[in-house]
Amino acid sequence: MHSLDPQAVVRAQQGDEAERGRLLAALEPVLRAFFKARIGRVPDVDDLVQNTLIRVHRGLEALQKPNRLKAFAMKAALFELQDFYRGRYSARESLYDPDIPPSDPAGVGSAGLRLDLERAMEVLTPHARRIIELREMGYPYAEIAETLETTEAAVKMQVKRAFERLRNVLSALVLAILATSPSL
Amino acid sequence: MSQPFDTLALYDSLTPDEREELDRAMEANPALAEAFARWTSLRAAVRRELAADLPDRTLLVLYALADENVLDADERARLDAARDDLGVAMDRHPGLVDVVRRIRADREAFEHAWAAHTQMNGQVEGEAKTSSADRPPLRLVRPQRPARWVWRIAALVAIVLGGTLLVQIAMRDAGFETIRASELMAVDLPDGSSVELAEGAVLMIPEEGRPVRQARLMGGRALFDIRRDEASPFTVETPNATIVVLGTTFGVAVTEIETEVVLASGIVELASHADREAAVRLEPGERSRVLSLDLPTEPTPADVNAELSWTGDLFIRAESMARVADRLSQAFDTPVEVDAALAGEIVSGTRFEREAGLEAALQELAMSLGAQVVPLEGGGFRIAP
Repeated sequence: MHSLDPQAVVRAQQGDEAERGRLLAALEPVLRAFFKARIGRVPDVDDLVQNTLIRVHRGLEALQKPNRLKAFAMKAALFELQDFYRGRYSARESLYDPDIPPSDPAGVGSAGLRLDLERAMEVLTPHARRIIELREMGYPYAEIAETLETTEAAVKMQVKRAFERLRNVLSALVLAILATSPSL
Repeated sequence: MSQPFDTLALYDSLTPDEREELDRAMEANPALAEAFARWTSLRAAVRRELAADLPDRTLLVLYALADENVLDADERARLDAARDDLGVAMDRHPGLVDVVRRIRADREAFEHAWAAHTQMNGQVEGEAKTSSADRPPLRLVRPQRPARWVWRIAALVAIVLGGTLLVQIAMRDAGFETIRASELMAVDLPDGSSVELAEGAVLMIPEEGRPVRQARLMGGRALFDIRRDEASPFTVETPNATIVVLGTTFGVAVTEIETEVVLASGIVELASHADREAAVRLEPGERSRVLSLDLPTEPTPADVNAELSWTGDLFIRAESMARVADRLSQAFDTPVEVDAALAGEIVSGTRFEREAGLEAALQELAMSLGAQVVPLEGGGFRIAP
């Protein structure tokens, strides 16, 4: 196995393509182990490893301190992981994009009741808001649960409760609108 | 009907088949579709707010790594330029704070992967320094402070730290020893100062021979009792704040994203790492905190005893002898009386170590007042001239 030492980095930076190849090959198992530990899903891990290696490859010349390869590779991996959560890997991403509802089967978009979003946001408890923000940042519920040191079931229960509260608020709003709008 | 509504909330985590089933249900049920449209609008609003307040997510990575000496000059400049906006975003969106914590966990996972790889191949780990935490601490570390209690008329400052720890960060800091408290323990510093650590606290102190009046509390709760040296103020660094000790004794408290200071007595200054010049000065009995990259909050009154209850001690700040006796009586569930001639005497800047017991505390009080402790028939004590 090739050493990840600073001399190898310097040689790669100076144009030694074989050295660069060995360096990237030496990084590959580290990245694979890291992403597998954090993501676990093999197809995604393959993509993450490959894209991180591309980041390292493209940025290697800019690495001013060859003895900082670990920090350099770590940042590349962490940036890549954020891209992953952000949805750059959307082809494989199973997350639903809430900006694009899949359908409007009942034609409710034209029903005339517009959501008072500010009011709706107020129904979220701080805990529920954290969960939804993490979800919108792209984190799966299982990872949200791990981050919040709770169970996935508990996280999902919070989401369901938030949804239920939102429904109740909306019901109240609809009743209020109906009460003040004789034409409806 | 409740089942489809329940499932709607988790639409984004359903399988394609489950989604298809729900889509059909929505086609048949306008109320269901209405609720779903509102829900997705709410989620979209959250997402838009996040995107507006944090257009560049890589800043979170830089922020999460900021205290670990891994950023280059350009990255540090980027982070510095964005600190204000980032602080606002993290205040508005508590989920971002969780993301930072997640990124730090990611970093630890990377460290493990790197270490496993280099060890497997017989290499010296690239940039990792020898873990000082694996070596025995150079300072005297007492597993528990001695049973004897000490009157400390000197000022006391307390800062209470809670939450998870940045152990890995601490381990890589050169020139510092790392101490992890597996139980309540006391650490003696070379200059005569001491630190009491709650279970789970992680403290970094300068390696032997380094004349640095500094400590780093990476997590957990600690009570600092620092020897006064006006020519060389003592500082406590936390992941997001700096506390400068202006008085004689102080305590500190921090989580990975929050530092809270509760001052029993003495004077300290608290500043955010975002702006070290914008410090607030705390007076005894006050609290202030630094959340993420915010500036310190304005000092407000604090219940010092409640904040420092983990120490098991009682903290007295400018209270009458009658009041002190009453508190001691309650704390030890034993009658304590004070002669009327002494009841109005003011006791200040005092810490009672509960382990020492009531009688020892009363003896010390009596000595400072030129009085005596008289046992009462049926139990209890009286402080008399």
